[in-house]
Amino acid sequence: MAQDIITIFHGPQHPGITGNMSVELDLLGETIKRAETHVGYLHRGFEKMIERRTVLQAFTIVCRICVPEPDPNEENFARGVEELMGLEVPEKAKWLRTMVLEMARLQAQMLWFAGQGGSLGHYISPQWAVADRDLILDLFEELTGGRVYHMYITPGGVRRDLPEGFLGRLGHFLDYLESRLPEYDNMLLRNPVFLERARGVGIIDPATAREYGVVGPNLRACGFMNDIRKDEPYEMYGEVDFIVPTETSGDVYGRAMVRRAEIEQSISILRQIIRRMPAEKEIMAVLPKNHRKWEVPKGDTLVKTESARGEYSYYMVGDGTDKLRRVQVKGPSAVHAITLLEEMLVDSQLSDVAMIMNSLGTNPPEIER
Amino acid sequence: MTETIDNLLERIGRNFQITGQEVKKAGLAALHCSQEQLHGVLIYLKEVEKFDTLTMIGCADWIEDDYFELSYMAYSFTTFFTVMVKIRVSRDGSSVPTVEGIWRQARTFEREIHEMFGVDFPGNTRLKEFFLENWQGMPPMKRDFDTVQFVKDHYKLREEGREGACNVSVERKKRIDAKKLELKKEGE
Amino acid sequence: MKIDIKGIWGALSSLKYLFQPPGTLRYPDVKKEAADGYRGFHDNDLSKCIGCGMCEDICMNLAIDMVKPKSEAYLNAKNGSGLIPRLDYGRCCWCSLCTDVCPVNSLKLTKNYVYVSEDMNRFIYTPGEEKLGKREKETVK
Repeated sequence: MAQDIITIFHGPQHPGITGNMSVELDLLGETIKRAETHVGYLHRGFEKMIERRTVLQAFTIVCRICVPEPDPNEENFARGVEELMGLEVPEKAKWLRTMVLEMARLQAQMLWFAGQGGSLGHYISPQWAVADRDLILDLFEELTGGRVYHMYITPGGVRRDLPEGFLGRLGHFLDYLESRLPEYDNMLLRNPVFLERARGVGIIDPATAREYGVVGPNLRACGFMNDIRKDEPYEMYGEVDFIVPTETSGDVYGRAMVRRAEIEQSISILRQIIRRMPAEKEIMAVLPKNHRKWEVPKGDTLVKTESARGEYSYYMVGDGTDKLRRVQVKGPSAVHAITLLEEMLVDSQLSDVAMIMNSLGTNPPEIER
Repeated sequence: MTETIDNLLERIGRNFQITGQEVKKAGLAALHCSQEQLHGVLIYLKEVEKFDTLTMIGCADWIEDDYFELSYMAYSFTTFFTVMVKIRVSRDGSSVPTVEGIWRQARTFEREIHEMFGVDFPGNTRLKEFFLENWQGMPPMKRDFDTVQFVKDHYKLREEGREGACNVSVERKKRIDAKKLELKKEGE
Repeated sequence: MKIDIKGIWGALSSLKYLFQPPGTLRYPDVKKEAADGYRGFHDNDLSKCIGCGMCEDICMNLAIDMVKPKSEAYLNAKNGSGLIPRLDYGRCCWCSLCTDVCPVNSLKLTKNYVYVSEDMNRFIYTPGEEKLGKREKETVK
C-alpha cells in the first residue's frame, strides 16, 4: 500500500520550549519530509513602544522581550545607550552587572535542563531543575525586588546596592548546586535512555555552521571555541578566569554536554566575583535629574552580549532628542529556530522534533518580540 | 603588519565607490555605498576578506529626510570585526535585490523588514506574512503609523474609574491665586 | 546488545528521594514572606506627599492620575496642588520608577502582592486613602 504524505501542525504548545511557535510538518509515515515554521503568537510590538518612551522609561520594558532570561536584554540596552551618550559606569556597577548576568545564565541553563528532560518524557528533570532554579529566583528577589523581571541594569549603572549578607547566601547556594550536579548527571545525562535518543540526532554541519549564523552552545558543540565574553570582552569578563568548553559531535548530546560544562564555569565565575567584589558605594553614573533631559546624540551602534543561548545583538540609533530613533533586537533564535530548524528536521523522526527544538535553544519571544 | 579596521576600510575603498565611512569603536566600522554596489561589497567581504556571517539587517526610518537606511552587518570570527554596509532607499515602493544567495539567514531578516517597513526584496523565496496575521493597514514600523488611532479603531478603551484626573500645575496656580486673594483681603 | 549497568544504576539512585521530606512549600498552609525591598503594592504617606506630580510624569503606562482627595483635612500642609496620586492596576507594571523619583519618599512599595476581586472596576486604587486587603479594597481615610 502506497503511503501518502500527510501534513500536521506541531504546536503551538510544546513540552520542551519556553514559548509558543508551531511547525508545519509533511510526514511520510513517521519521517519528516518538509518543515515550515509559523511564528507570531508572541508579537507584542516592543520596538514600536520604545520609540515613544524616553530612555529611562524604555529600560523598564526591555526585559520583557525574552521571558526565560531577561538580563542580557537590559545589559545590551544599557550598554548601547552608554556608548551613544558617552557615559562612564563605576567599577562596582560593572561587577554587580557581571554577577547578575552569570546568575541569569545559571537559571536559564536550569530551565533548559527542565525542557530537555521534559521533551523526552523524562519528567523528573523539570521538577528538580525548576525547584533548584527557584532558589536562584529567591536571591534575585532579595537583590532586585522582582523574581523574573528584574529591571535592575539601567543606563548609567545599577539601581540598588547589595543587601546585607547577600554574598554569603550566594556562596551557600553555589555549594548546594555543586553537590546536586552529580545527581543531575546520573538522572539524565548518563541515563542510557537519553544517550540512546540523543546521540547522532540533530547534527549541525561544522562546515556551514558559522556561515549560517549559528552562535552560542550550538556553535561550540561543533568544535568552534567562540564566546563573546572572550572574543569581545565587556563588563568585567576580561578580569575573571574561565574556559570555553567545546565538543565535536554537533548533535543533541554534544550540545547538552557543552551546556553542562558551562554550568560549572558559571559557578566558578560567581565564586571569583564573590571574592573580588569591591566595597565602594558608587553604583550609578552622574546623569541629569530630569529624565526628559537625557539626550542621546545622533549616531548608531551595535552591541552584543553572550546569553545562555548565544549571541544577542541590539542595533540602536539615536537622533539627538530624548527618545531613541530605533532599537532593533536580534536574538539567537532568529536563526536557530527558523532557518536552521527547517533544514535540520528533514529526514528526522516525528518523536524527535521537541527534543531538537529544545536542544537548539528555541525561544520564540525573542524572534518576534 | 597587524590587521586593523582602517586597513580593511582602505582596501574596500580601493575596489568600490564608498561615499562615506566611519570607525565607531574598536572592531566596528560603517560604510555607505549605493544600492548598485551593495552586492559587490558583500560578496567581496565574504569571499576575499573572509567575513563569515551576517549578524543582522538593521533598518531605521528617517522620515524627516524621506529615506530608510538599511545596514547589512557582516562579522568575522577571525578578526572579530563587524562592518556595517549602509544603503539608503526611498520610503515607498523601494526594492532591493535579495542577499539570500550570499547568506541564507538573510531570508528571515528581509522577510521581517518587508512586513514591518514595506521594502520589497525580489528573489527572496519566503516573502510571506511573518508576525502579523491578515494585516490590512500600512507597514506598522513606519514612523507615520498612528498607534493610538489603531487602538481606538479596533479596541474599546476602558475609561471607567479614571474620571476626575486633574492637572498639577493648574491646581497649584489656583491655590496660589486663592492664597494671594486671601492675603489681599486680610490686608484691606 | 551491551547493557549499561552503571548508567541504569545511576538513574535508579534518584529513588532515594522517595524516602526524604518534600522540598516544596506546603502552600497555602505555609506562606512565603517576600524579601525586603520586594516590589509589591503601593502605599503613600499623605502627611509627606506634596502633590508635585512627578510620579504621574514618569509613568510611561499612564497608570497614575492626580486627583482631589476625599477631604483636605489629612493632607500635608505643604501640598502645593492639593492633589494625591491614584493608580490604575490594570496598567501598572511595578517598575518602581515612581517611587524612585518621588522627592520626599512618601510613595513606597510594600511587600503585599495578593489581591483578588471579581469586579474589574475595583482595581483603581488611591494609596493612603484606601487599603488593599486580600479580597477587598477598603477606605481608611
